[in-house]
Amino acid sequence: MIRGAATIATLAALAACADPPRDACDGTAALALTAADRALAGMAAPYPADGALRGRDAELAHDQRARRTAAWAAVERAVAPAPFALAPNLPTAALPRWHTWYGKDDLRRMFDRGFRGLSADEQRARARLSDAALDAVFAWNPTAVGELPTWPPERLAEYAAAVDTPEEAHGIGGIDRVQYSPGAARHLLASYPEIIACLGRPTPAPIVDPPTPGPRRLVREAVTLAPCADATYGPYYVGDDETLTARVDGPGRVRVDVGAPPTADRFACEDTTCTIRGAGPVWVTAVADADGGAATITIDYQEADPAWAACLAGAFPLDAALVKADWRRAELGFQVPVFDTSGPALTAMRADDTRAWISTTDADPGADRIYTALLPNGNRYRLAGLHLMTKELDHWLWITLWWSPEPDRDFGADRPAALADTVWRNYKMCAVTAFAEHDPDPRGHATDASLGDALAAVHDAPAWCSNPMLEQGAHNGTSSCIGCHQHGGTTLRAEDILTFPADGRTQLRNNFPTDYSFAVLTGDEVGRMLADEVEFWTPR
Amino acid sequence: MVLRRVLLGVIAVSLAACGGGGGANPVDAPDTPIDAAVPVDAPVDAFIIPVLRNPVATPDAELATQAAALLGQGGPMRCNQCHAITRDRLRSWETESSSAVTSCLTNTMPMTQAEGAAIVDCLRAAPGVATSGWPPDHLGIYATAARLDWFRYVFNLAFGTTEGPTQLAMFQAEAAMPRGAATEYTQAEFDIVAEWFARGLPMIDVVIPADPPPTQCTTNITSEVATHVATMATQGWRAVNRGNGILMFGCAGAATARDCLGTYPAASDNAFSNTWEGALPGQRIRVLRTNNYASSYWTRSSADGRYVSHGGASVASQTYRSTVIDLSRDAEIPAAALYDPGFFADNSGFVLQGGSAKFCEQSLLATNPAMIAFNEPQCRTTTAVGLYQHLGAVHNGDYWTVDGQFTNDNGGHNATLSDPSATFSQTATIDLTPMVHTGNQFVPKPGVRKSVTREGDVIISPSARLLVSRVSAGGGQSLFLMRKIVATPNGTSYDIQIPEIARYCVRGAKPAISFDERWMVWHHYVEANDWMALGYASATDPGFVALRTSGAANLFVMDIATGVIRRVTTMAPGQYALYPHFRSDGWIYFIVRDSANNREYIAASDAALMLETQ
Repeated sequence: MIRGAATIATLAALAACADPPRDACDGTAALALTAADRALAGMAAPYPADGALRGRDAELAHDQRARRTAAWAAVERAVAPAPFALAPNLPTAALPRWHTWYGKDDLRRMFDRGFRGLSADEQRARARLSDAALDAVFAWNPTAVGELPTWPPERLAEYAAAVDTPEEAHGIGGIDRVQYSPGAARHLLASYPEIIACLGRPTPAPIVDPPTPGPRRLVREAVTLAPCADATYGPYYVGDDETLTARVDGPGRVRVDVGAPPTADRFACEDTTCTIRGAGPVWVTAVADADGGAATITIDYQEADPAWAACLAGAFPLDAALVKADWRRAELGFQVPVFDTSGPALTAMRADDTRAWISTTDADPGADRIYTALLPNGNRYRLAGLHLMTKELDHWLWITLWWSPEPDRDFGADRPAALADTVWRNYKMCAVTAFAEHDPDPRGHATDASLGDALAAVHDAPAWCSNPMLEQGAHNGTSSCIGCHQHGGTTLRAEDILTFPADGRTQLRNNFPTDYSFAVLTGDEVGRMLADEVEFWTPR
Repeated sequence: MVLRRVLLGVIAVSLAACGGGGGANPVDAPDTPIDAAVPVDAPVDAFIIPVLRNPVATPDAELATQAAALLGQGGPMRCNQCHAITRDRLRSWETESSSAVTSCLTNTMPMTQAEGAAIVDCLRAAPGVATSGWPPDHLGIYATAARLDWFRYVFNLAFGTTEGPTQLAMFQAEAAMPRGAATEYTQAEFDIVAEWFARGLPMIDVVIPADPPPTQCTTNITSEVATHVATMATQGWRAVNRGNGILMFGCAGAATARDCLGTYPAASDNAFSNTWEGALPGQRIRVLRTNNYASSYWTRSSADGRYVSHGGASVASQTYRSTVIDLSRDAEIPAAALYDPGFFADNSGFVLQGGSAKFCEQSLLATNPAMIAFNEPQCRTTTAVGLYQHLGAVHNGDYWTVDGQFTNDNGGHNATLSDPSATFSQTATIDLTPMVHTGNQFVPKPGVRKSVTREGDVIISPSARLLVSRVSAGGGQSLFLMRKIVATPNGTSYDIQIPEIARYCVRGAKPAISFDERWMVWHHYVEANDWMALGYASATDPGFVALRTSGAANLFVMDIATGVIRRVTTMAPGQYALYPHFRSDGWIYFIVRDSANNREYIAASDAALMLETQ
């Protein structure tokens, strides 16, 4: 298995953002499934997406309890056990569904076979891999080991027979940094022409408004404003030569501006009804009068219509999901850091200038308390954290898990009973679905006091979700997955993104070149892998 | 035996550099610093030129003991971290020091820009060439003074206080000794050591023990070697990389590995190379590139064979002194380093040295950079890895580096008529540094130091399971000694055992192990006794005389399990085939320094691939 290009570094990871363009010491896939491992694990288990979730996008954005419930349900789907294809001495051998997903080595193996299956003319023309061709390479992948002379059947049988503990079974899944569900992997391979074409080209501008108009949108929202208080909405991406009209019905007025949220001193219009012309991002602020009270905000606009993902063959499909795993060595003195994610701790972190996660202590949990993988060479790793992004929403459902020695407090307090008898009972979770936090209840309707305290501590206009294990470094404690990942497919570094408004949480783009994925141009550098394969095999 | 140089009388009145000082009994030498004189008519509080060296009046015996300890003999590890403190080595340093003194350090009280510049320029590898650097062997023991005030003064004098520090930093990066973790010399310490050298190393035979080499060498290959080779056939990096679909350079459309690189000219196609293949009929040697610049020290390549790197560059630069060549684009990428490249067996990264070890992800090279400054996001520097480093990677495990005593081998630029010395000290050690994979990064743990008596030039195999060193044997023999690495996790690091598993009685230098760890290659300079092995009737055969006049070096390949050795090349006079090493699929890359044509070539041989089918 190809070693990850984790830099041979002495410096601790300067990772920032949920899935940064480049962790300081991260890189490409690390210790992924080899051909032999894939033979044992079998085909990757598809992610059974909830197709109805997309219709609840607005609800999830406005209700944290609903959001967290939906997120936990997605976690259940992602960690559900998928049985091994080959494990004669451990009949119960299974991997969590996500751990069967494809690593970069799988992608390379399958693309190599698929691309070499094209004719010379097709290769030169960068012809797309057909559905049938993709079906074939995905089905072939678990059998690829049979074509390796160094893996005769006897050796494979011996390798399979050596797996006789759950930790060894987990080790077969490898300790890849990023893994792709079948839907995500397939879409990447299918998009290779667009991905390669994007390499070396300038990144699409953050705001793009092509000639074709987007749909007409109408937003109506009931609000209750305290006297003289305000609430800001947006940005709304207004098309060229189109207008946005904002109106307040109730005790107050609206301010609108394009390019930045309006302020008391700077606005394009302030009245009970305002109309502003595009093109660009428009913000609307509702300002209560001296009495305050209930009001209704109505926003009517013509949306810009950019290409969603210019570097892919369209957006990822519904069943696309990706994980990013934070594995920690479980020997040689390495332990798992512990972070306080209680309300008071989060309040203190937000108040600090650095706004960085600082661990309080370390722990040494056994395999009964933390998901553990024992690799074939005897090295042992623990899963300290796990990002999960699913395409059940247009802007993805963003979920992240982190291990805690007190897992039933704050962000673990509402864990569903279905996970109670699994190792996942030791993980806490936060989730985000939109750039802005629209839930008016700072406590997120939480029934548990510790969870309510924690949610209140991070309640802000831009939504928050940060994993203490993965989001290290200054300003990363107050970041959000969606805020960072909107820049996927650009050349921005994590350090750049965290300097943007609200530590990168504010929406700044209306198009997403790689549909929020950092893996294509940075991170795993899937694009470079595809380009190398194409360049190598295309006849001159 | 005390050697005295009759120059001490000069010191008392002249501004001669201290290295060449000698003459009268040093006990009688004045006690005042010889270079601390204040310029005539200067005010009382005028600037005082720093001293290069303060003469020391200590008697010979005591001086020798103190100096030897400061070098590392009988004292804390200093120079002996990298160099064997042997009598031969010290005498060679004495020669270098004397040359530096008489050639460049005659004026130790420069006062004008021109005088400072003259000193700086004289110490260069190529005086008159502003980008040629300052190799340590042009200073001898004065390299240990490079960080002291005198050199700082001279560089500021030569370049001005704005540019002076920059030039000084470059000078120190290349020349200053000791390197790595060894403690730098204070002025007082340097004075003692320099005095000893200036006096001609009196009582060296008392304070520096003789290193009795073995009187004979017997090739011995234990069964462990065969076991290792069998294991690596399926678990070694050749198999692993193949299973991972690594794209081998030049192999698109090739039916077998031997068919790779077919678009490149064969050695037999050109007049300058048509003798090369003669030693091993049936092999193919391909000439991959002609370089119109001189490389320095060793050359190494990426596992996929696409990238080749070494010290030296085609464009003179004080910063970009190394090159990474992308064979795919036939492009040279200047790198801000000095020399000593290494590539990871899994094709993931590379390292170059230059003040510190500079590591980068290999993906950086695929972005077609114009140059490598090592401040790119894909790069990091560390002082945890010493000079003359070699890299290995345990499959699915940690990376390992090894460094220890070494002899510089940069032959072929001039007539080089023997292999570099394989004499290393009785107290020689190596540092095995684990780069532990923590899950999302590699973190170096403290090096584990192991004693390897009289061994040096140690390399590590791609799997990090074997070590090979050079050892001097009696009667002009030298040998390669092979050890296996047994690393057992213990607490926060590893316990390491390195039992010997083979010794091969053959002369040679710069060995390298194949990715399937079946073969070992090395180069060997044509030496006086080689006439028969090269097929000449006698040492006076005109053909052999031509080789011995211009010098030459050939490559050898050995099956480590059987000890069977085959010569790979037949180089013409003035041609040096050097630094052979493997890429993942078994091709042997090497460089040829061709003094007759003033060029260098990157070449590849499928000798091992051919032999494995026999």
